[in-house]
Amino acid sequence: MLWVECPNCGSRPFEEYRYGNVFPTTPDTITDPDARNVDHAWMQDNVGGETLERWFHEAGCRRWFTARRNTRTDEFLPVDP
Amino acid sequence: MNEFVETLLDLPWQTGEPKSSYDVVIIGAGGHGLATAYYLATRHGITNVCVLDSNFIGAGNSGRNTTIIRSNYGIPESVRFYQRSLEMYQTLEDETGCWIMHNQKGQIWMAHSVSTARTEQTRALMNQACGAKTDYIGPDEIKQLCPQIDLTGGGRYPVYGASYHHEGATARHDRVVWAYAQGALRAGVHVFQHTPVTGLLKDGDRVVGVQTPRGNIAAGTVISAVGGDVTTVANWAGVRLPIRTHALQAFVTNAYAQEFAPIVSSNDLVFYVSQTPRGQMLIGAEYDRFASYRQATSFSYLQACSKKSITMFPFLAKLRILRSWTGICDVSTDFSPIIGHTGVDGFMITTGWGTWGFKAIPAGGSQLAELVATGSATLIEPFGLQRFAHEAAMADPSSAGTR
Amino acid sequence: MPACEPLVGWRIIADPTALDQAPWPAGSHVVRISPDDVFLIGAAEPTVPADPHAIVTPEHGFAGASLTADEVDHTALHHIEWQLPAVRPALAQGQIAGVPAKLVLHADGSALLLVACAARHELEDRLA
Repeated sequence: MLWVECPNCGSRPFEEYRYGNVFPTTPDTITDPDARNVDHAWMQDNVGGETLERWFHEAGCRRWFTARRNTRTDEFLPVDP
Repeated sequence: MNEFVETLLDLPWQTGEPKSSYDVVIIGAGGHGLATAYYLATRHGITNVCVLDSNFIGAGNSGRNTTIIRSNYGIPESVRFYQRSLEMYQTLEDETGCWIMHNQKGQIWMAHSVSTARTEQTRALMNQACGAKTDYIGPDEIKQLCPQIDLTGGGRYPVYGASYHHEGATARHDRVVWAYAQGALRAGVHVFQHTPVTGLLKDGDRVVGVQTPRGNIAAGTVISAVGGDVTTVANWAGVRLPIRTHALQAFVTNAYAQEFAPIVSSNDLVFYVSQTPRGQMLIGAEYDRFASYRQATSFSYLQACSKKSITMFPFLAKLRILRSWTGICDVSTDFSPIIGHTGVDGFMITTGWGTWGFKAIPAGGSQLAELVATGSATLIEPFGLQRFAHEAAMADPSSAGTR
Repeated sequence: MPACEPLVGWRIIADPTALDQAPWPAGSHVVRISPDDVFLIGAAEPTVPADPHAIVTPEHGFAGASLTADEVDHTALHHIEWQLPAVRPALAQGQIAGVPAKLVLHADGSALLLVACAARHELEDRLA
């Protein structure tokens, strides 16, 4: 069972949550404004490792919060390591 | 030892080290990688080809999936592409001489509301216009094709109608992979298992080969046919991909002693059911909502998916879950594959196969081989990575069946 | 298990510090759903916190039932997958029998069960 720590409510099974994706990043190396738009709209970092992402505690306090997770192990880590 | 394993012993396996240079190096010995190698060698005479895999042949999603073959997609480009694949599957046994247990069953795609009924009617018309055999059918015909169904859907999901895809089929997944592996090996392709690619060799911006623990291998063209971990490989080449990796789960029950003829999917409930050749009921649903590389199954998935399938097929409640499995899928942001050039010289890609890659193996492999050999391939032209920059995304989430 | 009856209260959304310092009416229940969100029960008039952007509005969306300490223990044992807080009083929010719900836990071990009105019959059925 995967457990997610909600900053307001505590540890709850992940089915109580909705996933809100990672923070979108566009590399600085892409400088053309059109290319930056395309990258923002479609491209994904798809990190295999630690990501900073948004989760929504749908069945509890109904608030969005930021979580740090290792996508290879689904382990949740402190947001500010 | 069985007959199938014996046929593998005579294959011309490469026992030594890889050569220092090949015309084409393919990363990933799954269905798409091996099919590409097979068609390069058999159709285009390009036999100086090497396929590398970090694990064994078909260790990823090609070797465990829900084995469904269909072409009832929602946009013309996809219907044409998958119809080619479906037709190639029908003759694959004759062509390769390998029994892949191909079984044409027909697929029923149910609608439980007026709006999804309209979606299915549109699908049927779109399919007919593009060469796929799909008809819209009513509840009576559905009951005839599949007597086990509860047309009231437990009172909450009444069946309004369905699109019926006559040529929907299943085939044994690892036999398909091995059919291509055997064909490629016999045609002179080198396949190295347990040989991970650890990086790409570059000359300026151009990709000129791959790094492996068994030494560097130069290549005229490097093709990534990697599944869930494709982003790692693309990063080496400096290519940004619209891919997010999600886990997809599925499970089988113990054997159901009667025949369950067709493949049945539901547009509203999002699940699909079919019967394996062993009689087990194979059930799947949508992929896990959050991106993950972890191949973990979850109880909540089994619970939710069982509930949905029992709603439509009450007899399933008497069966037991035998085993479940999870694969990590390269899901593209517009739910269509990404195949062809990447904008980096010498580096091509076949990815974005998400949860719909198995059915595409023959057409994906043959078209990519054609693109490598001749410089153009009509069916995959709309599916290039450049489409995102040209505002020509191939958005078709409703056809994925697992959205 | 007692039936869940619709509750009338006030929903007060404001700056967390303003909510921390708000003078709540005597005898009222303050359910702190999140740092910036309060469900106030048992007050004739709402407290307006010291925040010019505060939203104060009547709330008719919840149903509630009073549970004895034994009923709380039984529910926790059979219907809740997660741990109830050890300290009381406290608010516990999450799925109860698969339905999103809240338990306002009192010092004596009893509790007020809160659930969205639309889901109250579903929850009653599942707890029965």
